[in-house]
Amino acid sequence: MSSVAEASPSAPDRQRLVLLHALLADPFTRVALVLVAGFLVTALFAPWLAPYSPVKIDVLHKLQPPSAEHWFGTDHLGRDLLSRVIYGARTALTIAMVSVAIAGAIGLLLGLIAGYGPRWLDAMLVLTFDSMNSLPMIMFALAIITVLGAGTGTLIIVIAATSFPSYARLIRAQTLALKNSDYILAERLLDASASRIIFIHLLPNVVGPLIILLSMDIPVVIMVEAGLSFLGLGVRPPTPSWGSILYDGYTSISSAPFMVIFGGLPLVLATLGFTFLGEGLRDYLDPRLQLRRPA
Amino acid sequence: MSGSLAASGLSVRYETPHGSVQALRHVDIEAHPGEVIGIVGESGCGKSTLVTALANLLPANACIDGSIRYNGVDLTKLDAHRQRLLRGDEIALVGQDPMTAFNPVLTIGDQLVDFQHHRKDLSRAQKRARIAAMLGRVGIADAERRMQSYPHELSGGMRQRVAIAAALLTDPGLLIADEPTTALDVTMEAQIIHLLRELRREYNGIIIVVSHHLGVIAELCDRVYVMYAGEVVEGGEVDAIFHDPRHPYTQALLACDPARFHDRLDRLPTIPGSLPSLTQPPPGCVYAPRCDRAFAPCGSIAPPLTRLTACHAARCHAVTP
Amino acid sequence: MPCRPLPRGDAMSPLLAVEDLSVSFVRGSLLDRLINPFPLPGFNVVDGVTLSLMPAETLGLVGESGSGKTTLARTILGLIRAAAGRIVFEGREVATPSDFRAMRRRSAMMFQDPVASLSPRLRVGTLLTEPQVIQGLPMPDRRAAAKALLALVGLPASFVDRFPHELSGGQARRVGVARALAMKPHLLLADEPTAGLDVSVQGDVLNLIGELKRELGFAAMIVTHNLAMIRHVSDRLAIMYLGRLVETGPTQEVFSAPLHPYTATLIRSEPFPDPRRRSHNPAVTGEIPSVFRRPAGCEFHTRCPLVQSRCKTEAPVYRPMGAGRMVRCHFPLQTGGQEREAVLRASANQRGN
Repeated sequence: MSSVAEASPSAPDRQRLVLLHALLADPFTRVALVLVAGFLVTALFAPWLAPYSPVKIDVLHKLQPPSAEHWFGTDHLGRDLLSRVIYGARTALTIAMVSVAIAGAIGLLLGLIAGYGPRWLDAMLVLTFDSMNSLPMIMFALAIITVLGAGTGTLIIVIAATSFPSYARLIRAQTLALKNSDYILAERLLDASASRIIFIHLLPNVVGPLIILLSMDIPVVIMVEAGLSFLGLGVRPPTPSWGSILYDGYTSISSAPFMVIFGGLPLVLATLGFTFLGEGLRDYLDPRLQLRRPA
Repeated sequence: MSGSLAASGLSVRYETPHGSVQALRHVDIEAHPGEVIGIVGESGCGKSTLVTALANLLPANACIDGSIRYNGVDLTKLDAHRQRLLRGDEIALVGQDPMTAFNPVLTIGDQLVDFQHHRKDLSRAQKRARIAAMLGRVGIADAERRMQSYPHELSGGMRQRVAIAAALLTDPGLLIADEPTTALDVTMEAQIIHLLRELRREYNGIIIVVSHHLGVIAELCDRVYVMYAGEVVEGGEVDAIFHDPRHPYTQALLACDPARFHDRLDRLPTIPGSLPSLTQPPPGCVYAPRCDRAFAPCGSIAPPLTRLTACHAARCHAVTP
Repeated sequence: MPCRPLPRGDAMSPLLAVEDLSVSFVRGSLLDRLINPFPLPGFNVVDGVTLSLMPAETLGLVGESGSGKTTLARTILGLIRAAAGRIVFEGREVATPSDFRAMRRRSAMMFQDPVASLSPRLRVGTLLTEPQVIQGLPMPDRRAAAKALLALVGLPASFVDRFPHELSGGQARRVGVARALAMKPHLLLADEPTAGLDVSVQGDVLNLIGELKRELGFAAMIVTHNLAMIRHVSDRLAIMYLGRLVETGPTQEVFSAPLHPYTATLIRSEPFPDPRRRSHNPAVTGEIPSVFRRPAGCEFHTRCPLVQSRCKTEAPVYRPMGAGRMVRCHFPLQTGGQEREAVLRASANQRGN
């Protein structure tokens, strides 16, 4: 009802407050926020939080079980596991954030161009997205690593290259839906340039769903990074990564089972935290789930 | 079965995070079998809230005061189960957009059979026969073939006819038509108005027509209630409302309708000002801030309902019988 | 104001002339034509429309949904490509994209939904001054310019910081008017300028357009289905049915003596706000046919109360009839007003029973 709408002043900051309030109302999201915040703090302040250097080798004290000195024990080279887990958070977060951001930016740009541009360009771009999507990730990763060598940069390239097509397709679909809306037609009548229409009028209106998708893909990328590092295709040793901790633990699982647990637990918690947060965001922002929104 | 409907002292508040919105205040309405009642008003006047209150479909955040007596039963005090029974059998609603009233993946015939689920005494074939007869009654020529159609295969006017047929299938004592012609073209609108007028000859329940269109109200109704900012400001026989309006808002609203003027006007009449806030309605008359005849008491004292004749009443300080 | 290639025209030369304009739905791409060498015939959503608009004139383009009136308006401004026909604006033919750009610089369009035609994430102030920014006009103070435009349409200056969804229908309409007139256009195309507005607000918006029109002297084409409104704001009417013009003429004459039976039924169908003058029979029965199944002969013959056998086979030509009037009908209504009503009513009775 219009009278209700008029009665409620809806300033943007107020909307933001309502958003936060709604997010906090859901217990899963609250847990998720705590987990994600903890993860971020760990990654950010790793040098201050870690009791030892994560790469300092001490073969005399290798594979020690948890003790007062080494809370999580030490690995097969005698490195402090707690410090490696803390620095591993940093590696995971950096790779996840950077690769998702790159993929998101490429997807956003190409999706907008495909959706708003001429039909031949759209057809070409869609063909590109589809062929990128059809590449098996591991094979693709192997091919890239053969060329560029393993390492953080390669990992980011692999992840960004394999995940941008799905973002581009989402943005393309959104753009196609908005392309013939009245306000875009109105802008075309004013002779607004294509770049003006794309960046000022289309971009802010299509970016919402992408942000949700990106936030839900961060845990996926953390898993992928761990998986590739586990296989030795990821970060180069001795850089600490949860995936390589898991691999090291796996090789000495009979003598030091705690390594697998301390390598796997943060992975599970971070993944759960980001997933719940993404779902909370989606539930709030998805117009199809209006019921959960306060009136 | 049909009985009279009477809402008295009906108020509805919506509790929202931004305060409580008084969508309806002390509304009195009555309707008797065989009558067509019109409810007219502009957006934000509360006519949709009134319809949802009458149909017992108010959302959870609505607080309701006063009573709606239908056939001697107070609808506001019924439990959920009996409300549902009543909605299915006794009260039918025809909405503005008939497309949303139907399930897009079922044929018209199947949906209309489902509408009669409470008639356990009828076989499926009997139900289909009733449907065919009812579709014929609302002016759909080849009813049997139309029952095989999906909603999107029908035009807007045809869908509205089917919606009316669906509403009448349950043989309701109260038929509420909420803006039944707003989504239609003018030639279809005329046909639906004609259809509703034809139907009332054989139908002995109450028909309530809600519209913002003065022409539709004038064409169809016996009695009219004029609403403004959540209140009924004037009610009476249709002829009295259109030819002897007493409330300044009714007069202004009628004067605004360009359909009344044959010769070209250089300036179309308007009502200056805007609707008062329903979160904090004005202490006196709701129309006082826009009224050109407002005087001392209008700003502070809410005017009582003044009876002018047996069934003509207006809520205004300036009106005397 | 930039100099114009031609003067705005003397009294006789139209500002806008549309000749034999057609818009077709199916436009097979190269790929479609390769796959399907025998494509379906194109459906003309707008078919052979010839229309002119004089400077400072207001033309009402009237039709029901599906009549192609919105498509026609959008085609004139080049948003939809015409399949055939000519558009002449200020004495120059408009054919290439740059012609359309030049024309759009001197014209403006108002869309049906006032809120939806404003970019949702921009503030009113930004939206109002956007036309000038796009045209590269110098604007030392954007906010002041926006406030001046708000004042022009009677809105408070504080609205510069609002978002479109925070406006009521009438307020968004006013913003739309300000935005359309910011560049001082010579032509305003308004698509259903009062759709969704209450009667008490619709007058406000129309009066505002009328005032600004007197002040700025632009010509207007108002696309609408609202007959009660258009009779008060237009000088001339053009009635469309299934993509074709069926009648044009001065507004008052068309209302008092419609020539085409469709015009007559439209006027008679409008519910009249007087319970003492109820209509007793619907003026027309049946549904508007789809453009995909355009009836042979006269497109109105399936619903016409005065249909004759010739109408079913032979399409009537669009021909002049009397001063400034055109009609597309074999048997235009020529009798006096009352007789015409009687004829229509009698035939409606026959069909109704």
